[in-house]
Amino acid sequence: MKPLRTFLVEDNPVISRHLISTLEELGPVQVIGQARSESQAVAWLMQPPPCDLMIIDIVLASGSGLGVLQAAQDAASPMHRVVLTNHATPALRQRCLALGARQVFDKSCELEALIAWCGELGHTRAP
Amino acid sequence: MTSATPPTPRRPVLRRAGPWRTPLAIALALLLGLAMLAGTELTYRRALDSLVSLGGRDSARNAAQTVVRSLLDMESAQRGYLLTGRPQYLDPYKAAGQELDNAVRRLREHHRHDPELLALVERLNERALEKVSEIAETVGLYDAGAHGSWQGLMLTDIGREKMEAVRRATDVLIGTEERRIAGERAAVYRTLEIGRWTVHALALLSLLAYAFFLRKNSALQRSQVRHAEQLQTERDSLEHQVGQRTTALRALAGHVVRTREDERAHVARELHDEMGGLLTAMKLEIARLRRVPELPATGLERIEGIEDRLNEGIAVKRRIVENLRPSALDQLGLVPALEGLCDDASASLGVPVRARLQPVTLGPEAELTVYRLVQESLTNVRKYARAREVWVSVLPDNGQVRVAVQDDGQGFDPDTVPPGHHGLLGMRVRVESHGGELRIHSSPGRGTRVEAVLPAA
Repeated sequence: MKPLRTFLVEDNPVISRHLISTLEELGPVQVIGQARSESQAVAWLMQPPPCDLMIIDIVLASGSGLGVLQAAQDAASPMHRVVLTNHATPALRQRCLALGARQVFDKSCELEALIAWCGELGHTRAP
Repeated sequence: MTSATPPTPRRPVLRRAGPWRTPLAIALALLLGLAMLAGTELTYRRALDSLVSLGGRDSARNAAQTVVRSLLDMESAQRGYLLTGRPQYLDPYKAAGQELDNAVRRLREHHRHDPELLALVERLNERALEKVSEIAETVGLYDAGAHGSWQGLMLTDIGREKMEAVRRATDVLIGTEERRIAGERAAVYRTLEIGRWTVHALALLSLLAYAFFLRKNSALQRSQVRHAEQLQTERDSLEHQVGQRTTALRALAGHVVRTREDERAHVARELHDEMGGLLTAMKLEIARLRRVPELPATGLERIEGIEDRLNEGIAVKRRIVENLRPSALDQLGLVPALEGLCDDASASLGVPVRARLQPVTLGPEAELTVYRLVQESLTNVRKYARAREVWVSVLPDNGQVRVAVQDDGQGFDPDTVPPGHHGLLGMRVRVESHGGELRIHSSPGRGTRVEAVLPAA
C-alpha cells in the first residue's frame, strides 16, 4: 500500500515527534514535511511537492491553523486537510469545516479516531 | 508625579481688625448720638429759659414805667383838684394810688430773686412814697382850707424835685433792667451759637464716621474677595491634584489589568504548550502501546485505566487554560467567543440568553475587556439576579462600540453596593482605561443593565 504523503502543521516539538512516529507506525502515513507556524505552512502550500494529507493544529507558534486552512481553500488545494486541536469546541469545528477541513479531531480524546481515519483514507485511496 | 507645594498658613484676613474694635465703635456711636441729643435739648432749654425770662423783664419794665405814670396821674389829679376844688378830681388820684401799689408789688414779685434790683425797687418805692406823701400833704392842706400853706408848698418846687427823684430811680431801675436784658440776649445768642457749632461738629463727626465706615466696609469687601479668590485657587489646585491622581490611578489600574491578563495568557500558554504537549504525547504512546502484539488482557485493562486518568488530567488542564485565557477569542474572534460564552451561560443558568452580536473593530486588549465585561456580568447574573431572561448585545454605533448585558432579575441599588464587591468597579476601570464609559442601570425589582461604550479602533 502506498503511504499517505502527509504534511504536519504543529508547533509543539514533543507532539510532532510522537505524532509522526505513531502515525507512521500505526497507519499508512509518511510525513514528508512539517511547519511550526502559519507563515511556514502557507509558504509550503505555495510550492507544494505532491502531497495527500495535511494535519493542522490550530494554536501555532505564530499565526493560526485557521489561516492555513483559509490559504489552502483560497489556493483550491486538492489535498485533504484535517484539524487536530486542543480546542475542539463546536464553534471551532464549524469554522474549520467551513474552511474546507475534512475532519476535526480533539487532541485529547480523538487521537484513535485520527489514526483510524488515516487508515481508512489509505485504504479507500489504494485501488 | 510632582506634588503641589504645601499651602502656606495664612493670617485670617477677616479678623485683622481685632475683637475689641467693634464694641468700642458701638459705644462711641452711642455716645455720639446721646451727646447730640443732649446738646440740642440743652440748647433748646436754655434758649427757652432765656426767652421766658426776657418776656418777664419786659413786664417788669412796664411796671416801672407804670409807677412813673401813676405818679404823674396823681400829680395831674392833685393839680386839677387844687385849681378847681372839684372832688371828682380825687377819683383818678385814688385809682392812680392803687395802680402805683400794684406796680410796686409786681416789681417786688418779679425781682424777688435779684437782691440788686430788689434794692433798686425799694429805692424807687421810697421815692414814690415821698412823692405820694407830698401830694397827699398838699391835698390835705387844701381840704383844711390852709390855702396859703399849700400854695407855699407848691411854690417850694419840692413836688418837681420829688418827681425828678422818682424819675431818676425809675431810670436807674430800667437801665439796670436793660443791661440785664442785653446780658440775657447775649446769653441766648451764645447758647444758639453753641448749639449751632455743636450740631455742625456732630454732623461733621457723623460724616467722618460714615466715611470711616465706608472705608472699613470696602476693606472688608476687598478682603472677602481676596479670601474667595484664595479659596478658588486652593480648590482649583485640589481639583487639579485630584484629576492628576485619578488619571494616574486609572493608568495604574489599566496597567494592573494588562499585567494580570498578560500573566494569565503566559501561564495558559505554558500549560497548553508544555503540559498539553506532554499529555498528548502520552496519549500517543498509549495508542501505540495498545497495539503491541500479544498484550495480555489485564495489560489492556491497566492501559484503559491509565488513559482514563490521563483524560481527566487533560480535562482539568483544559479548564484551567480556558479560565485563564479564552482560546476562542484568540482563535475565532470576539463574536464567536461571545456566542460560546452566551451558550455556556444559557446552559448553566437554565434560562435563555439572547445574543445580538455584530462584528466590531476593536484592538485585542479592548476585545478582551469586552469579553471580560460580558463574562463578569453573566457571572453576576448567575450569582445574584435570579433572572428569567438575559440579553447580550455588542453593536457598532457611529465610531463607537456599544456593549450591553441586561437581565430581568431582582436588580439592586447601585449606590449601596456592599464593601468588598469590586467587580463593577473593576469593570469600570477596565472600560475607562480604553477611553470608554461604563453605566449601570438598576433598581430593586427592575432588573439590571450594564452598558459600556468604547471607542472603535
